[in-house]
Amino acid sequence: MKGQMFLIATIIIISGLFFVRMGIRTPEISRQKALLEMSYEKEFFENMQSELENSILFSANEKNEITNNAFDFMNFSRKKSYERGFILKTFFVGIYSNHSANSLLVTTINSMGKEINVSLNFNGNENSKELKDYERWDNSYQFIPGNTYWLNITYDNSTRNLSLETSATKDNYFYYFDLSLVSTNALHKQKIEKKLNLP
Amino acid sequence: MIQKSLEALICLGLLTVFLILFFGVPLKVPELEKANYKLYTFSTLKIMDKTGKLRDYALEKNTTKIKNEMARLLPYLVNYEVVIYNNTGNVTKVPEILASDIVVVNYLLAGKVGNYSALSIKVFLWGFR
Repeated sequence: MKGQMFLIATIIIISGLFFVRMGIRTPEISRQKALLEMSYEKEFFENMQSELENSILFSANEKNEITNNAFDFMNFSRKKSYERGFILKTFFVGIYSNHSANSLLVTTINSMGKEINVSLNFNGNENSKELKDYERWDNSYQFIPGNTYWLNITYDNSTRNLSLETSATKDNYFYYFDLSLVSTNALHKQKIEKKLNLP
Repeated sequence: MIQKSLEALICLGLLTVFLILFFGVPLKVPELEKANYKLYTFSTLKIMDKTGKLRDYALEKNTTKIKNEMARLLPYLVNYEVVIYNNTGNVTKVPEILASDIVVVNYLLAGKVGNYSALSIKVFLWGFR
């Protein structure tokens, strides 16, 4: 009879330890999994960001295709993000300064997943437009090559002042994008502003 | 008396074995394994991208070279296949994978200098233990 008591006590102890351990482990596993998933999302987000910049850089030899390729890559990465259960939002402004034609082409692209109001102010010339999702908006301005201009952009409760330091002897491409990736775990955001000297 | 001691020893042995197996050996949690492998795989692709090989192989649509390079960089304990996609769909063959535990890793590329091309490298991983 006493031998059976040992066995019963062992079963009770093992069962108790099992449930205690499982109770402790479950939230810890969920937390670790969420952290790993967040790290993966961050890597994926940085990959998209650098490749969006590469889509511009790799197209530098075909000046008229730079914005088209950036737009194409934005749509591609948005589609791929959606397939993975993420929401990618991009607001993009590309400025091509043609020094020989004294013309500056400003292209604004809305890929924010909603309609937004965009205002541009270049050297006192103000334009605004309601941009639908996936819509691009082209504006052309005259400029004197070698001078520095400011382009003020207002969009979706944000404002950005871009400094456009144009070259007197070369064409330039200026770009600004506001990228965000929304997932169930986190929100990843980045704003990039750069200038390229075109060949 | 001897019988009681023997029974007590058996129970003590059972308890010891349980404690060692349950607390001593770190248990592999499939969900964590999957998340870890996703990160490993992404890092491998990132390294291959930094060396310039991934872009070349992807533009060549050569998944065999990508797989060989991946095998060289990481000792995989799971099965994996690589498929390349462009804007319209897959540009390399999509394998038929008969598994329920498939994890997908995506790596995007914009081509290379002078050759813009939006591509997605998808690595399918399965067979987690």
